Amino acid sequence: MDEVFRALADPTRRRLLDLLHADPGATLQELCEPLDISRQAVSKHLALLEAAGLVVCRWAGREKHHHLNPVPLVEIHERWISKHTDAKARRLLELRRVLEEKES
Amino acid sequence: MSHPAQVYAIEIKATPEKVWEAITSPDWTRRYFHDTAVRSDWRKGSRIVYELPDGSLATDGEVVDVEWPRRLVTTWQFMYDPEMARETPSRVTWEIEDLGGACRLTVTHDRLEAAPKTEAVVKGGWSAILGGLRRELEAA
Repeated sequence: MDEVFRALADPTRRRLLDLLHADPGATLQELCEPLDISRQAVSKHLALLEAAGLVVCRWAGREKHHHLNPVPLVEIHERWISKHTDAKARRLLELRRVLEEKES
Repeated sequence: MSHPAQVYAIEIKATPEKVWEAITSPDWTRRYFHDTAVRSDWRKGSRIVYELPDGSLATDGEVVDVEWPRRLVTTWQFMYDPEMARETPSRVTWEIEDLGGACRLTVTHDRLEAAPKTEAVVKGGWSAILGGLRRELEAA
């Protein structure tokens, strides 16, 4: 679990998870496009995410596809967030969304 | 550019043989797979179903490939919901990798292009199933 939190502690890696959430199976090339850092740096971040179990890779011929693995995140959720607090937290998030929409 | 496969992976402190048993024995699946009992003779081309407690089918499918205790590929179709029962069968691949003292179990659910409701239902579902499978195995 330490590895998961370390992996999540970096904004570029969180951005990579966002990209994989939106585009499951993206290749390194596809992940580099929206990011303003070197291919090598992206590759390093992906390796760290993979070591933490947050990214799983699949080969299709010569293409390496990256997938977000939600299992470690679900386990963190299950460990600390009961159903009760989950509902409350959701209502608060919903309240913030509505209020922020009104402001904009 | 879209690759609609869903991939779920978990590390379990158990031998590959034990993980295989947990995947293929109804006594085990009842404990982590929504109370369903898996039934098959585990031969290539054979039928594989997950039975609900009342005997009706939760899922129906065919064993596409079987390699004890490493890899199992089946087609996957939900039967408990008429809408999903009409969708094209998808595919589920179980892979067990021996890490020495533990295993990495990876479930890949793909061929979901023509099964949008199934795709939506399994999203998130597999995480809970695999979490339950590990809890049961590591408590045993």
